Amino acid sequence: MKSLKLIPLKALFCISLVLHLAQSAHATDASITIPASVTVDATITLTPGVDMDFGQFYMTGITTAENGGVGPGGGAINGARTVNASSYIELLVNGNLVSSDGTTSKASSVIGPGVVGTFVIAGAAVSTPVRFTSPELIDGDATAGTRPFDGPTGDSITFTDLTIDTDNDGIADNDLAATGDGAVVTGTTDAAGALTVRTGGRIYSTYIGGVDNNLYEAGAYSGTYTITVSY
Amino acid sequence: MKKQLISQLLLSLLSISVSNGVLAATGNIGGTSLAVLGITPGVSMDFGSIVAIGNGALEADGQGAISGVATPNLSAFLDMALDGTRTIGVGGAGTATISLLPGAGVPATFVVNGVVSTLVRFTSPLILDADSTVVPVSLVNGANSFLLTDVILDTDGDNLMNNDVLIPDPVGVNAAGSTVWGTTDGVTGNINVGVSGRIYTIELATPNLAYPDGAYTGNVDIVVSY
Repeated sequence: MKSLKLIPLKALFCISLVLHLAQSAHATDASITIPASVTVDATITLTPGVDMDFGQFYMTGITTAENGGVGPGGGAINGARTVNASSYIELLVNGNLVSSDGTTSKASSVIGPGVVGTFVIAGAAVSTPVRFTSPELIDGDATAGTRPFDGPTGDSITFTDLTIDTDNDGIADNDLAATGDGAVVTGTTDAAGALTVRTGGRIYSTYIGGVDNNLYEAGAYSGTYTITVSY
Repeated sequence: MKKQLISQLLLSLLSISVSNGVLAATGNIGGTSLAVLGITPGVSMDFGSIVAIGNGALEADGQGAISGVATPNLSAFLDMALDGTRTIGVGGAGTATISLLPGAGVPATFVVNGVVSTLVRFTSPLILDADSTVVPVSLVNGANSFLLTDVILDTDGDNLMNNDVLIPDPVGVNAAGSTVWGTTDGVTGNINVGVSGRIYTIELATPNLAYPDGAYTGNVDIVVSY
């Protein structure tokens, strides 16, 4: 008992108070550094589907109405190319074909439907507007660009007035084409970031070489058109 | 003699308390020392894939869009909930947008181990607060970046932050951000924590209308304590 040195109670209370105060502060025991990331990927994946096909048709000129075969404004097979005056075959985005005579030429579809072009967007942003642009897109002032569909030996048909269906309703009512050379069509991707697109358009009779004739030669006329897809 | 015994008893109690305090290097208000907290990292935070673009015609400095200066709460943002659900918001005046690519976000996870049935606090300058003064960090890819801020935590496994009683950090502990609380499991002493947050568009190094492709990365620091 002698070895134990007594501490006054007052002193003990002081020590106790200091300890409790020290223990009341929050103590940091650990920390964590969490890696975080986000990935930007603006690349849109496009998968070609079916090629556009205007089916089978005849296109003939009216010789007597031609101005020597080279007259401007005639728009017939033997005249100068005049889009919107020449005869044409229209492929609607539901596959239907419409024939229309021009000033000096006629177009007739042969039995059988047309086939709209298709392609699929995948991996795009979900539920997001996507823009489609092309010089050949139909616009409000007949200034859409044109492309030749070449035949077997040099004759060609003019392709233009491209239409696009982006909501699968078979009509181009969502294709609000603005005035100008080429227009912009919009569509909205689904919840998976996908969108199926259908395309139609028109082919017009055009000037065939430098030789008068009144009938397009038989055979397949083919060409391509380009659509740019972007956010 | 009676005084002597009382003194001996007090001395003994204090010795235990001091000893525990020193060994654990911690303490709490009640004066009970607690075991050191352990942390086991889990999944990293991933906001998934996006497209981020600006509207050049509307762009102006101060709008916080892609070609403007950084302005959290005005720029376009991507919010990731604690269940991984992603929500996007257009930037001020429509100057920038973020679009979601397919796929989900992934909140970060980690496990804290401590004393059973005990309150644990989580602090970070990045944690969401009520007055938009949270400090951001950058998710960087080369010279371009997003801002990451408004970090939220789930500490009871319900994928909601309703347990995250957001209170301002005590003065002197953290200058910004808020404090989130959680309670360790009554048997294991564990807390499974989920972490998410929000990213904002920011000025790009070279003004243009889209963030360049690639992964933008950064870190979130969280302090865990009793």
